[in-house]
Amino acid sequence: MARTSRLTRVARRLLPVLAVALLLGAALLMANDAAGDSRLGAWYPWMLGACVLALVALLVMIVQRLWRLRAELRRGVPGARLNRRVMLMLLILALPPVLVVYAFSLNFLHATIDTWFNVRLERALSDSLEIGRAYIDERLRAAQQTATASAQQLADVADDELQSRLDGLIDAQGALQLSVFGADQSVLATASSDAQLLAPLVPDSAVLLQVQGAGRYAAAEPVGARLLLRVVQPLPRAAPGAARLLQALYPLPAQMQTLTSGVEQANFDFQRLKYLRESLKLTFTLVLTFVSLLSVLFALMMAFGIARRLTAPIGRLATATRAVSIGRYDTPLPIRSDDELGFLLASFGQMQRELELSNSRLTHSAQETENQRAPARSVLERLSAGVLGLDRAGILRTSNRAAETILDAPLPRYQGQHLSQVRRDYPALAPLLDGILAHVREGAREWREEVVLERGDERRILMLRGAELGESGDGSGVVAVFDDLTQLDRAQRDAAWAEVARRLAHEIKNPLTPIQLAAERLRRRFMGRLPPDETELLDRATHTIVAQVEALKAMVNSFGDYSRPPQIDVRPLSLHALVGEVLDLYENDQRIQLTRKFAPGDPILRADAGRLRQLLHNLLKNSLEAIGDARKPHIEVSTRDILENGQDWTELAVADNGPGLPEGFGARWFEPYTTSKSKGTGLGLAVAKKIAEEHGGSLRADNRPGGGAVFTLRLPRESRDSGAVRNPLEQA
Amino acid sequence: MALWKSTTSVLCCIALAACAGAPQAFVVRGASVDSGMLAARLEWRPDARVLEALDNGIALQFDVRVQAQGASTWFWRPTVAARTRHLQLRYFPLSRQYQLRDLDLNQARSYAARALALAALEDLRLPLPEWKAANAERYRLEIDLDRNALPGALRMPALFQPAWRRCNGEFAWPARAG
Repeated sequence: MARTSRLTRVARRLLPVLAVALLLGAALLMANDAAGDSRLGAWYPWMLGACVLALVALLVMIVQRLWRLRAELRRGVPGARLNRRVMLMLLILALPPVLVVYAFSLNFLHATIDTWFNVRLERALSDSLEIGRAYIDERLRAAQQTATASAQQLADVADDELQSRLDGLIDAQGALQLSVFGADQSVLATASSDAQLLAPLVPDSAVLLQVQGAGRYAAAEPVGARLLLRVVQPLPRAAPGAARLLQALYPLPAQMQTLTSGVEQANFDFQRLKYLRESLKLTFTLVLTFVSLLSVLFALMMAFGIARRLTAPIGRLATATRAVSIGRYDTPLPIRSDDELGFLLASFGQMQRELELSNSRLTHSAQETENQRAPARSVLERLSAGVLGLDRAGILRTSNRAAETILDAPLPRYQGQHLSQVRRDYPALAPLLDGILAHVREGAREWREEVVLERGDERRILMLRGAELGESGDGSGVVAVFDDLTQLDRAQRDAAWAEVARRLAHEIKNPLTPIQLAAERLRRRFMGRLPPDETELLDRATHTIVAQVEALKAMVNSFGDYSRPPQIDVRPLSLHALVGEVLDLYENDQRIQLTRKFAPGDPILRADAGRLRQLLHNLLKNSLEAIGDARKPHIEVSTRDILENGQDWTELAVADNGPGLPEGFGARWFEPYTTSKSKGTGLGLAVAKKIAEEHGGSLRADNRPGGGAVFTLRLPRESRDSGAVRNPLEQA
Repeated sequence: MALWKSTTSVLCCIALAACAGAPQAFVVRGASVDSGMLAARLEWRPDARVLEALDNGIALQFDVRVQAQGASTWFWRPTVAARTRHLQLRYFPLSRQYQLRDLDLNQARSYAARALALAALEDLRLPLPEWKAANAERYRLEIDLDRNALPGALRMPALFQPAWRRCNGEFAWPARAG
């Protein structure tokens, strides 16, 4: 296969050269042949065919190369456009001179051929020919006279004596040949003084016709290389029916023979050349056209070759550049010349190798860095504190998952962007981000502060710590770490409230009983003993003291409930059964209208039935107190099952038709001593929330679209096969 | 102008070259071969361009080919005997003579007028030396102008110009009749 392709390549290179050589040889031969008299005529059709074949071969090769160039241009092969440009430039350089030379050569050729035919020269040659003819006519007349004299002498000679008489006459008259023919054209006698004219020339019918008509035939005739004077005339006094003819051949004088022959040859050549003038022009035009076509086509071929040779290294360079741009450095760049292009290729190859080496080092280094960073990133991802890494310009470089969770913002999406972009999209984070950016701008080495974020009704307390990266303080960036203190803060607050409640219960509840007993003793002792008006005053005062002490006891008990540590007895129970039991207590109350909307099925919870019952009472009481006396209370209790984050939940919603949640209702409304009601202790919702959280659930409050508020308790649902379901009544 | 004319001539020549099969100007009216002598009656109406060439000193050379052919088998007819004779017609301006020369026998006849020379050409009598064609079934005579013998400058136009291409003719006749 390789051998075949090499042969093909060699043939491709040799074919144009052979075609050109063939055309040149043929053109040269035809030009020489046209000018001279060589015998190449038999080869003319072959030579013309070879020329046409060579031209066609060249044309085919050119068309093939054009087609290939067109295909390369369409495919966008590197170097193709440059190839076309170089080729066009070479053609522009080569074609005009060829065409100009062709036109000028043609004109020059025609003009030169025309100058060969000088009028004066033609006249001179014509005159010399006429002189020659005049001389020959003169000599012919003399020959006729001599022949006539000879005929007179032979008139009465018998046939058998003719030969001897002719032998005598021929030398006397200086004739080359004397012959006597009979009536039947038979040779009666002949004598010759020239060895080349031993055989007599027999007069043909044309000669005989002239003899009969004019009485004599006399003409100069070319015989061999000589011009002879031939006279044929009848012998006089011949017997009727036996006419005899005398034929005499006379030479021209030797000198005149040469001169007349020269004159005739010159005239002959001139006339022939004159006649061939147009043919010569046509032949030379054809030859010149062939040569010009050859030049044009060869120039085209050369342009193709040179353009390809020039642009091939650049095309390879373009290919290699493209490969480098996509990270490939293995494109081979063979260097076939020691010129500037070769130097360029060598330099590019060197650069390619260095790039490959650098890239390899870089990849290795990146891999090592990544290996080193992997544990750090793993640690970073598992931190509960949020971490933000920024450069000195405030561009976010890294963040961890905790930061994303705490700030509730897709921070990875903002990597590489300025932190102010995050601030613009999440204005609620402004206190944190502004603080960080301010410290970055100030160039602070280290800082620590507490930041409060408020988003709607949610309030988060963050502890922000920041430090400059790098020990030398070269300003490579800063890292900001923040912890969510909200839960901690709430726990601390809850603990504080529990302590307050416990102390209140301890400090207040103890003196209440003696106060109540003292008031009741006063009442029993002095009732009826005092005047009626004073008795009434005593009754009203002691009644008030007892009532207020009862109220204080209730409040202290509530504080006791809130402050009690969570000691719950968790067991599986049916929520619908427990809720139904509680609602049954309110069913006969004419003041309210109760609606139950339970979800299909029976959700099972793991809960403390007593605490849960207390929670429901608190919610129902809260709703009743919120509705007030303005309208007839309508409370709707509904349940539904939901699936969130892979966990089954059951939600219990207690909705009322009251005025709805007060303005600014938030998380703090679930803290003790927060109430909008005049008679409330401010502990109902706090206790309810506490019970919900004790069960791993949550409690939230919303406004209903049609008016009123809805408190939603969410508790984790137990799968049915987790254990026997206990009747809440039994538990109670 | 000259360039335009030359280019047109070249194109015309190439176009004419593509046209094959021109009518023949040589017509052989009759021929016979008897005792080694070819006698043929021809009719030649040469183009004026050919006669002009003759009068301007261009020698016209004719090839006369005689073939004796045997019985044909399938599509092949064997040649029993063949001879080619070469004749030359030429004008001598000094003596104003036209000469018809047998180039093979080196014999020449001169004629004072072109018509006489052409008449001599049309009434051919040529000896065929060592002619042996006993088994011949038919004879075939071809005569044509030898364009290769023309001057070099005239050869290329003669390839294309009809005046030169038509100078040929052929004739075949059964051996018994001959």
